[in-house]
Amino acid sequence: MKLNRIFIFLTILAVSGAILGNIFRTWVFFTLTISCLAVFVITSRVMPPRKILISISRESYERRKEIYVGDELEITIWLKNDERRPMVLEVKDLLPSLVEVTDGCSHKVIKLEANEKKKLSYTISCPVTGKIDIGPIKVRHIDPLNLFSKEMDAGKEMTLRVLPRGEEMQKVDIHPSYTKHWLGDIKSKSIGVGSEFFSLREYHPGDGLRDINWKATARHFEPFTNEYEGEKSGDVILVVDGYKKGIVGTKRHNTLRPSIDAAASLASSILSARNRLGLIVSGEYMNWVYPGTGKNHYHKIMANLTQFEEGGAWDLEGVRNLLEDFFPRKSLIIFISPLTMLEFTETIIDLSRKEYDVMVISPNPLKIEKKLVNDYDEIAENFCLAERENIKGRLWNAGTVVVDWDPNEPLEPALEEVLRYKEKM
Amino acid sequence: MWKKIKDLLDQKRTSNPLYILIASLAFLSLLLVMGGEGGLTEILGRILGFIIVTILAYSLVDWTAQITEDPDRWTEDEELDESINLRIQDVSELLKRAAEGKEKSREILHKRLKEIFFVKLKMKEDISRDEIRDLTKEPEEFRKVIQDEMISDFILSTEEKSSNTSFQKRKSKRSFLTSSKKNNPESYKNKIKEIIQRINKWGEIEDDD
Repeated sequence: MKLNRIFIFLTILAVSGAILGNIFRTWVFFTLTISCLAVFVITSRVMPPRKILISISRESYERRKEIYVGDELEITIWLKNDERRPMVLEVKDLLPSLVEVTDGCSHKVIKLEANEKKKLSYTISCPVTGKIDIGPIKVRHIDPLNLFSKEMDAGKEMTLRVLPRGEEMQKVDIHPSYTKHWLGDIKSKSIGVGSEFFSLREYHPGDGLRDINWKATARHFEPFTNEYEGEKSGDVILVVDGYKKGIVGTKRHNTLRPSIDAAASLASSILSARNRLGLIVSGEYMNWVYPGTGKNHYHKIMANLTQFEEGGAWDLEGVRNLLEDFFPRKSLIIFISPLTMLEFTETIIDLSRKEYDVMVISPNPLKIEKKLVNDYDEIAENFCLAERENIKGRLWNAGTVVVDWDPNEPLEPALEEVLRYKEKM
Repeated sequence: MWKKIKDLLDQKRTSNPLYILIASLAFLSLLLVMGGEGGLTEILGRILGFIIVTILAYSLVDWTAQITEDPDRWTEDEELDESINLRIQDVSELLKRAAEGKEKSREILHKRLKEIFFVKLKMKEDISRDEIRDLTKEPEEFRKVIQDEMISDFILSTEEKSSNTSFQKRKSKRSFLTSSKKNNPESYKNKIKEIIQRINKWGEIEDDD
């Protein structure tokens, strides 16, 4: 149990009465002291119990553990007074600063009669991806004069995973230049298993009846078989740059958030085209997922993106070693980086000279900064633009495809434009 | 008896001056009260009584302050709107300092501008860093390649500065952007603005060709 600061004021009043009464030798001032003492005595009757007997449960806990960025989730807290007397409680479900309460309130003062059950519900929304811990629920017993307080933590902590909301990219077809042996959606310009007609050849024993070209067979009086263009797939590796030194913006709006969203969008698009997808995220820790396919693999990638924390020292050298030592060669590597660090650019140029197909998707940090800061110098902006254009130019010169993306706009149009330009080249 | 009092005073708690003061005042006031009513002893008794009550009140308030505390506010103080690594703002600051005539800021700004141009030159002319360095040593040849008086003057003056002695450095710095030295930040800013524009245009013209 704690004694609140208001206790001091009452004490000061009481002793002031005693001092003044002593100086002026009158009972008028002593009545002040007596009143204060009376307040102490009365309040001691409503002192908080030794243990607050209350049952608390949070309802959303069992239902949902994952939400998407911007999704709303209603949380209901049930409180039941197990005491035989009424209680006034201050209740707050502790929320991380990034979580926004969109409806209701997570902090309330509630009066509970004996054995009464009441609910406190509110709706939250999280604007950024990641793992968020909600709770514990803080409960404070309050007496009418707020002289004493007793606090307790109740309810389990609720861990919620906020997943990035991937953008559906139907028009864009990102595929690696080098294909592997397994089946996919990429036309390999060679004979194989596929759906597109490639050529005709004489029938060989073992050819399927479905593959026989009956028109050609009738024309030549001998069986002919259709050959198809092989549809294969390749390996794509996403590398997300999360080094703190290179991140531009605030905790809420920065270059990392769109990077994660872009990675989620690309992951969905690449995997649906039956390519194998790998992931390297370099931030506080370096996490990686070896290329794979399927729904489970997609969830694995999403989990890694969600757990991603910015930070760390610049260490793209580690990423390069990881790529060269563990990941398959002739893969398409997609770097998602704001390109704010020169060393990052150098490493990308270095990798694009090797056996890799390299693409860079760069959330433009200047666009984010302009959204955050209204008052900026035009000369400084032109200077930064010139520097960025230089970096992009160097990357293009090294054979890297660079997508300069305004994070305030969808990714697909920017990507589509650059890929169309690349095809023309 | 005297020994007992001495032992009491030797103890740690009796070394507290407040305790000794209260004890002596209480003893004195007792003597004065016993002294009778009226006259000097009564006034002294009242003063002493007041002092004792004040000390006791102070002790009480002090003790209350120690045992009470403000209830927790249960808030997270994480700063969400603090901006980090803002590029345009950093360059703005640098430009501002350079325009005010700060030598180091000017040096950094010019170096970065030069770097922008050299990367552009390297890409357009397909020449190496060493070749660029050699080119800057021959001003006439450099001007011929660049075909822009302002950019050439800027690059050559900064190049000259980096190769000269400290005295000559200052001199060469004066040769470029002279008006800005006369505390005219606007003129310096305008010149930098024009150089950036020209560097940007220089690439575009080359593209058109």
